[in-house]
Amino acid sequence: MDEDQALVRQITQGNVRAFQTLVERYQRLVLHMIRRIIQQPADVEDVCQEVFLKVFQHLPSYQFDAKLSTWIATIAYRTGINYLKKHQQDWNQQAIDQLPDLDSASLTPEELLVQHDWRMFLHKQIDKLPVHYRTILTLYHLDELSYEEIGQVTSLPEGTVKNYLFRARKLLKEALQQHQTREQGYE
Amino acid sequence: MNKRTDQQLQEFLDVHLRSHGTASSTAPDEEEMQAYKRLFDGLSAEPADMFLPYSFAATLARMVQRKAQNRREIKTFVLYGLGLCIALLITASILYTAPDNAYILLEKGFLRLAIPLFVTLTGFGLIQLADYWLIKRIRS
Repeated sequence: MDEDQALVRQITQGNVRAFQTLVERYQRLVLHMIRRIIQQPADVEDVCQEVFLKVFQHLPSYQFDAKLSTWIATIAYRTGINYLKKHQQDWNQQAIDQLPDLDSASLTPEELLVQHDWRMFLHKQIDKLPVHYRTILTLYHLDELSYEEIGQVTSLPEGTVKNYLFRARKLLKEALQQHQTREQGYE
Repeated sequence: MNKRTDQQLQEFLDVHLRSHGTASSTAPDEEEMQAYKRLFDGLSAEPADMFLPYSFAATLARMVQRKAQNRREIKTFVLYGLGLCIALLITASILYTAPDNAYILLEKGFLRLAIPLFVTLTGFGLIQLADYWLIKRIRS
């Protein structure tokens, strides 16, 4: 029996300390996903809490047919998407094939400030991407999930996952290059 | 040498990222490659505003514990209520099958003892309730 299985067994037997260990182990994964999906810092903690309460509630029905991290990420993804559906009327109106203009010339004062730090600039650009792109980028680069695992989490075919990842990175690379050119122009 | 496409560049860095944990070191020094290297490094770094409170896990564990306790309490109250109802039903059925004057005897006895019995039972009930609230307050 591996570590995760033992942990799940202890939790289903009512061991609250084991549940705390599970939360500590997977809170970063859930936080990365929820932060990228909902983009409202004030609600992130509440939604993360909701995710783990769902995990606790559904743990007795978990059959170990997927990795525990993938199973938890799936719950986080669905909870995040449900939050978007409930709170943002236009959550899915952004068509996948019409990507936003990432590096627009008309920048707000706040965005101008962000321009000076390329990492901050990059994260601001990620936030402008459609939700599937943001999620896939986060799962692949921050949480190091495989294409197959990302497919399981998002219910998207592996080919689509690869395609979205490729297009998101191409778009961000172009935005970064434009940012760099502009920065050099200022100097 | 032909310039590599975006796809080839991304695939090259992907292989490196997954096998060495970094996109950098041995990447060829093309302008496009440098841009992708920078991007991959940025994507692997956690944004500064991404954090949860230090006590997040402990708070959740306490919340789950409290919920489980509430469930247990509700279960106990329901069982207690059911037990009381069943006991009343059994008493009523015994009285129903007993000789004719059993009800009258019970009524007389009940009328004589009703007020002291009511006061005593209410008193016990209130003491129990106060005890329960006091323990709950001390715990929280």
